[in-house]
Amino acid sequence: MKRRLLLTASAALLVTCAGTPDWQQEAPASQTLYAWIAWDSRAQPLYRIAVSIAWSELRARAQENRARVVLSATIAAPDGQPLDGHAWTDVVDVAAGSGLFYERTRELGTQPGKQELVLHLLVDGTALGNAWRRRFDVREADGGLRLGEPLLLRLEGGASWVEQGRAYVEEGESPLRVRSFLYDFAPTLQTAAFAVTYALRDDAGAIVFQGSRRVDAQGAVTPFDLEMPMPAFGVYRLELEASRGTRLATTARRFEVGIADLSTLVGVAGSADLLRLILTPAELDSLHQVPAEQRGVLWREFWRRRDPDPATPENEFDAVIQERLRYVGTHFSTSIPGWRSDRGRVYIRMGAPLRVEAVGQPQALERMERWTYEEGVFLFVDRDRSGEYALLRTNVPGF
Amino acid sequence: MLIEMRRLVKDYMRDAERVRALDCVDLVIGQGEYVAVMGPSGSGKSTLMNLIGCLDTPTEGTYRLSGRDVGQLADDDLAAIRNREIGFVFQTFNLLPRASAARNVELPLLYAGLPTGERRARVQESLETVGLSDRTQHKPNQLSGGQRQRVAIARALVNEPSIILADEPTGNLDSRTGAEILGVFDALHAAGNTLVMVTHDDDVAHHARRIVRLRDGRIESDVRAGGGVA
Repeated sequence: MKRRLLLTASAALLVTCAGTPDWQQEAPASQTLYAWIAWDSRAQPLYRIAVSIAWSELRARAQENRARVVLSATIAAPDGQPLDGHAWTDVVDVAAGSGLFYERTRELGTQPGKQELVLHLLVDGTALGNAWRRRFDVREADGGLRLGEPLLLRLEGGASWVEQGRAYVEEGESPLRVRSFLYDFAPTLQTAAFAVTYALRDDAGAIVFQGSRRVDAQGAVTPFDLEMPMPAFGVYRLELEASRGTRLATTARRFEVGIADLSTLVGVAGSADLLRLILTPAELDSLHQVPAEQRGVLWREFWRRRDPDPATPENEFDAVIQERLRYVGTHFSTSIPGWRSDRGRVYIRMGAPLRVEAVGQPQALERMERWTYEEGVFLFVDRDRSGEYALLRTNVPGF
Repeated sequence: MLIEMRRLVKDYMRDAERVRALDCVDLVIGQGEYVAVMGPSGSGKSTLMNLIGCLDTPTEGTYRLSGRDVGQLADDDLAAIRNREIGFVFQTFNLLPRASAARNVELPLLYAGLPTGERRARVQESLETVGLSDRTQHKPNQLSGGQRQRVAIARALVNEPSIILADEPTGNLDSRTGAEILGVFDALHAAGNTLVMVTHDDDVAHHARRIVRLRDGRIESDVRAGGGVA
């Protein structure tokens, strides 16, 4: 009888099932931190732990413009006693903007029974959430995992990270960096060369950028980054294809280039139209009059002035605008992003109206909406029920 | 007279400052006329088109459409007149991509609640008028740019409006396809329809029988084909 170990997990991070090719599934532990254990061997009882943390998450806790992350983990028996040789600590320094990707492969404790992985994360001395815990069973079973399948390509990251399909620009006019992971369950711990081709398409399907590269994969999970010029604000679809011999894997992800931190807005490609929605005409003129290298400073000053409570470290106005951007993205996006639509522009500047009424004739092709604010009224028309409402008129100055 | 505008003024507030977009405009357009409205950016032509199309109301002056004073009507009343009297043709075709040409043309009638038989007859007639009776079941992506614009014109015609109002109708088309659309307008005019078209293109404007030029919110010239002043 062949002997092998079976790994099952009680937590949502990873479920492994014996005897099926799709033996790995993962779910993000939170929207910003990913960790998983992979049963990583057919011949050797290995496990793999990988942690990915976006810079935006680290920055909030970092003391300086870099972060020191301490990861300490133990494998413990049900009584809480660490198993011999299964406790370790690693220290990783992360430069600003780059985020953390950490991966560690270890031999699994071979004694059958329930075990628990406990992971602690410290960022510059501050705990990142509670301890991460995963329970699993180690037991003997018949049969074995099949070799060489499946090949999965999973796109995880955006410019800095992806949250619910959004790619965020974190630092000005940086290149768009997409972090991807190649999952391959072919013989582990040997290098395998994959050809990766990728294309970035705009919402109309036109190719904005395309390229190819070689990825030398080793083990079950290989992260790799793709860099391309930062596109303007908008909705995009990234298509990836990885091949090795006759094996082929494809994936695609739709995302929107937006702004994670509005204090960095100036200098981001395509931000001019958004600036017009936030700044007064006088402020906009000032911004245009100063040299380009001083615009960021001036913008941050304008942004600071809008902070309703300077005593707090956060600029609460940022949250307000972000919420409005999210709202218009969800409710007003058609063939154009929500914030570029007429209703979106009004919503971002004015906030939610006191009252929204459908006006006109229900039996007509055209639809109209009247938005009422304390300051006045906006009338929008959708002439052909395409969902694109154009501002027809308003008595509010400045629109 | 179909359209009668007298001493029409339209002001807008821009950053707490009052801007006069139209300044004492007098314009009369009769049934069956084919008029091009021209003018540089900021001349007031879009404002004039919005007023003609009952999309906006004047600040001062009177506007009578088919004899009815529409200058000070409420939004709901304006919408009713707009839907009954005016067929809009835009630069972008705005057709539903998954619906056939016939379905796109049928939409206004569908919302209006017309019975199926009448809808089908009017859709067929409208598509015949623009020369697309053999393309009724084609989807927009199976049609050329000119054919898509013809579907949009058929949709504007299907409610049998008093006026066809076209805003840069050839702006998205190459010159040959643009000529195809202007041929459709010529035929509509010959059949007795009233057309008002905004364009920045002199060649396009000269298809009309009358050219109204605006500058700084006023009518600079109003000339009929052959040189007569309107």
